[in-house]
Amino acid sequence: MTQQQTEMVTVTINGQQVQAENGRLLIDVAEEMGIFVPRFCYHPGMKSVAVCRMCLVKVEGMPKLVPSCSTPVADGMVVETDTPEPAGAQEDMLEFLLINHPLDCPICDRGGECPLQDQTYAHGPGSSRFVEPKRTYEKALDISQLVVLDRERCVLCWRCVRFSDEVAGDRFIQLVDRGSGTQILTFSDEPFDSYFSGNTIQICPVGALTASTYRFVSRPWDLKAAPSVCSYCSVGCPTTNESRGDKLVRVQALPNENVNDFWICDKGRFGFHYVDAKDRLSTPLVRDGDDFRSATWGEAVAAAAEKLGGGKVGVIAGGHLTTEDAFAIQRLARKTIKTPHLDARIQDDGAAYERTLAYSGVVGSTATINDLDGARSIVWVGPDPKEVLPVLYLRLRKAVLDGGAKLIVVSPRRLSLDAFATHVIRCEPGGEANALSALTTTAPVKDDLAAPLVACWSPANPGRETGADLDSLLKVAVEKDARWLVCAPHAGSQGMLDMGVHPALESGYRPIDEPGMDTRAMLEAAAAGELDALIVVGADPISDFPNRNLAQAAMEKVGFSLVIELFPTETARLADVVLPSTAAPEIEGTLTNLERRLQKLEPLTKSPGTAREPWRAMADLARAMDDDWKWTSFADVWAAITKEVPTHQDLDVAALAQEVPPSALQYESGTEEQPGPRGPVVAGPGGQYPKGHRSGAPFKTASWPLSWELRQFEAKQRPGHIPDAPEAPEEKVGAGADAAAPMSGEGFVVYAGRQIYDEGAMVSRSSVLHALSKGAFVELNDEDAKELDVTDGDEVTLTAGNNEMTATVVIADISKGAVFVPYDQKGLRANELLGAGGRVKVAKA
Amino acid sequence: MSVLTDEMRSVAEQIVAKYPNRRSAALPLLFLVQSVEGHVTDSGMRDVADILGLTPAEVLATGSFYTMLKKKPQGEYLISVCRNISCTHLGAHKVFDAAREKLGIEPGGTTPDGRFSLEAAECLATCDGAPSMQINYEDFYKVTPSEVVEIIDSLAAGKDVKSVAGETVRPAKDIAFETATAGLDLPHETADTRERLVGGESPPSDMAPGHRPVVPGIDAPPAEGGGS
Amino acid sequence: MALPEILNGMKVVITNVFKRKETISYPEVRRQPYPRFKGRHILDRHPDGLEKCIGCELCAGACPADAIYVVGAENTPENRFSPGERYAQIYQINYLRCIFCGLCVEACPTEALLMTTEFELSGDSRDELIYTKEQLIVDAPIIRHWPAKTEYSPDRSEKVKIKDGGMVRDARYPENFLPDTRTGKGSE
Repeated sequence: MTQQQTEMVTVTINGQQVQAENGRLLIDVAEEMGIFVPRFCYHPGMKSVAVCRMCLVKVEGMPKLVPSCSTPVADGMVVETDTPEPAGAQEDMLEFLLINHPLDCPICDRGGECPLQDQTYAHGPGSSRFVEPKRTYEKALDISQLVVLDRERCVLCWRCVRFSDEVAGDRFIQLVDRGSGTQILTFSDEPFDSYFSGNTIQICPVGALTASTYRFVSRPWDLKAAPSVCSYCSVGCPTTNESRGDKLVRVQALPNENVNDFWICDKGRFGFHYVDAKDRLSTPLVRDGDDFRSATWGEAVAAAAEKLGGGKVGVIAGGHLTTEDAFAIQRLARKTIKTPHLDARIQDDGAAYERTLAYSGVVGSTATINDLDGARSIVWVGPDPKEVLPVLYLRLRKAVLDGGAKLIVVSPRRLSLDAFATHVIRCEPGGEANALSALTTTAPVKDDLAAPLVACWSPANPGRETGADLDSLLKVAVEKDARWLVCAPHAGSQGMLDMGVHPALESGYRPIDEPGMDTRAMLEAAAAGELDALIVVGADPISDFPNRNLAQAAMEKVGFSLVIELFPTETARLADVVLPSTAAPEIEGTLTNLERRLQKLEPLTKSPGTAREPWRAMADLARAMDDDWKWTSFADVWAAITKEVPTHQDLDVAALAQEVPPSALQYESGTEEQPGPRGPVVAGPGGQYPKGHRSGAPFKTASWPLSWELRQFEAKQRPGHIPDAPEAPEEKVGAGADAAAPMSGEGFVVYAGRQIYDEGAMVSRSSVLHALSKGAFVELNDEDAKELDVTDGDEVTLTAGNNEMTATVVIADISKGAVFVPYDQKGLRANELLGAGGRVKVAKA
Repeated sequence: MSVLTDEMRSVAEQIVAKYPNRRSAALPLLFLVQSVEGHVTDSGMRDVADILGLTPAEVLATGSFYTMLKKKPQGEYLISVCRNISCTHLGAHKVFDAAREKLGIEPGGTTPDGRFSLEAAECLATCDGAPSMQINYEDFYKVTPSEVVEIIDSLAAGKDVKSVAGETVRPAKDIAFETATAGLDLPHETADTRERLVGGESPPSDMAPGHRPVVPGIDAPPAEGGGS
Repeated sequence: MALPEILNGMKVVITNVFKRKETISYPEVRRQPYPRFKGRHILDRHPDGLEKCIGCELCAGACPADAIYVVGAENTPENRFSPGERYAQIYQINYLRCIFCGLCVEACPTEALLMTTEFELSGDSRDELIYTKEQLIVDAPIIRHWPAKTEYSPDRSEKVKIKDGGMVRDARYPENFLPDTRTGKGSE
């Protein structure tokens, strides 16, 4: 990223000379040479603390051994890592660490992929001189729904504490007490309530922190693994999916410095149980009176194709589908059915992503996530990223706290970003556009709007026209010569835009002269009985569209409906034909993330019954309608994409394929080509190791590259051939004009937003995560609360139209006259409230 | 469930105001909590976290490191008898046994009436006065078993007991309050404030923690800087 | 001319007629295998009745034939199978795959998995030869005789002579093995 020239120095490590950037850590330089220095506390994603003392090496001229994780390289340094002196120190450190470490490896979930185990074999003593009793603690403590703590196993490396402090900012886990009684602990009854807690499990070098969902489930040697991409949100964190037999049992983060660093959120890590949910659809269903009957795939497709042949057809696609599905949906609609009515915006109904086209030639981001690190200022307009795009929140936090960027947040309510923002601008819901247009002229904010600036936007408050705020933001960005991250919310949303699942855009961002109907218009037409058929792919408008009654009426009144889904959702229950769909861990596909980066998903488990990818369903439908696409494989779809989508012409999808990571992903462990990074076998008092190990072979738990800068194909991941931006519009920013319009009437203005754990079809099928959802709450300004005579924890009723709901009051920093309601929580479905005009009456219950 | 009253919170704010960062005031505030409850309770730590904008876990991590912040109920008077080598040679174990028998508690324990706690301490850095003992961190040198019993009786009867430095041994809560508010310009006399806010005995107003005058009658008077 | 050859041949026959037979009429007569013969497995219990197996899967990891399938689960106070946190919820050995190498027994950290001398494993279906935990686990702890003739007493104060010391024998299946009536070999 940085342009400045870095000075190179010459270092000699174990007799090998190497050129390294001045100031880099010795441990990293050695690792890149294939010399592995054992370590527990050092983690490249966090600052060095040098507390475990495991990485001691000898540096010529230094009076004592130095910890290589906190020693920068310097010119002429001569280092030894494996001579008797440092090796002996490492051996002694391990003997110390094992004094209190219980030998319960057989029951420990880490057994077999444990850095302590591995490094003890490679660098440890053969036996211990310690015969006294070990210190003991109560065994397994559930410190949250997701994380189980075993303090006996802890080697006090601080990784979890540092992660919570430096990376996540949720300081709920700490080192408590002193001396030999030091232990990792959370505060008495307060759970480890972080959205990122799962990362501490992955970085724990022993089995002290383990996952409740993976407890005693499997062993590393049982696991099959495949690289994939998390399909929950549009950050697109690379993951490894791991299965035992054909059951997905674990999801871990794959490091990628360009996207997620080393981290994923708990939703991505623990939210995979939906793939084998009991109610997963496995066979096509055809309506038979009030009920469904199972059908063969061919029968169901034929029944659907018959009804889609003529008349007015609408297509609504969801946000979790792959780029290939998007392409197929678009092709079926535009080429085979010949309808212009297709859209993929449901919760983000009305989100005006296409406005960016006028400024940049692309629909979506021009910046990358990495641009945040180099930015001097960042503007955020939109929902709370911690709830909606969790890992982007981590990246924003890193950009501000480590990179020193100034963050300007424009929002009607307090966001998690406010904690480290330089300027927080509170506005009314819908007043973002006004606030933004004042940004460049108001001191002191304007002084902090320095280039390089990254402007970030994501659709907030479902059901509201958001074109004006995006326009204002882009205006600011253009004025400041900035780039922007325009974050469509879901994993597949950007792919939908790229592939032209949009009423006004063809694939490759080509505007259409006569746009079709968007989701709202389609549902309105269907509810009025004017639509002959509706295809809904991977979407549940009844639960998600910000007007529940309209979606319900549309599904009931439409002439024919085909739903392609994973589960019998409320929408699917009203369909005429239902086709079972596939989940992300089961398919070969690609997802396009919010920075338009294409990433590959590899299949791991089998989908149930006759479930097929939506693109296959589309191809089957086309074939049944006498338009044979001749697609049988992923590669066939891509052959068509590169031919038909101008922006994707030169993409080599084969180049996106990733090396299959080992099941036990340990970046500590060296590569296939470098079998000896664990250093020489150390002779301890107990004799040669690995003695008694069944194979006697050197340990190699991983062939995954050591370095986290591992993406060679990086540059090719973003679509090329970006069309030139058309002439900038004359004067599009009518700031106040169309922004304030929909917010009139009585009662409080509803400002809705998604929460990380909601009633969504996928996440709610993970019981551990579902238990963490916050339930029905409503945020009120304290003045409003006083007027209503309610306080924190009181129950209030929310009335909008005929809908009445009860929710718990949370007094929060939110603009006066507005209430925040979570979009989709148990007992509070905001889309029922939003249907009635975006206002709600609040009364004490 | 707040431990700190509004008035106490205003004192807390004054303590916080002394530091450039709010979180730096964690230790004095924990002493403030201890001055109310005798030890640092969970609800007290929550209060401190609330005042300082930290998580309770961070407060716990800080507080649990320091042995003078008590994590479990502590007697009004903590009797610490040194068990290290100089003192043991000169009969510290006999002193300790006398105290144990007198109080009927084991080391680490507290009498049921909550007046006394007993602990076996590591070196108290007063080997010249061995066998040495501290009561609420005030030194007693060359203690004999009968003296211990005598001192405990006096304290139990509410009489003043002077340490070797001539200081009156004061109850633990008072010391905690004084530690918390050290160097603070309270609106009233410390004594009054303490009485008003916490109740109980008032500390002498000229006391400052760590103040330790040279007292005649000791073989070797402490050198400058408090070395032994 | 042929006579010498015939006589020569008959000599072999006649000498063997008076030699002791090496064959036995199995299954009426059975030879007891050597004590350390590796036959089908059992899962042992602790003297208090808890299972020794903790479901650690080390046997499955060690198995070169991939014949063992274990799924661990957590003990609860109400539902306790083994000491500690973990027990084997599913434990299966597929005797169609097992090569009786004994690596699983070596790998077992709790000495739960043992091999008996039972070798008569046959069945009518493939399923029948996948032995489940119910089939493998013993009802009562195995009494084992250790190879050591003497052992330290639990408090390490004195050496105790072990009755039947010097033998390794599985006490569960003695009735399966009738002594070899002829040689008595392996019958000790």
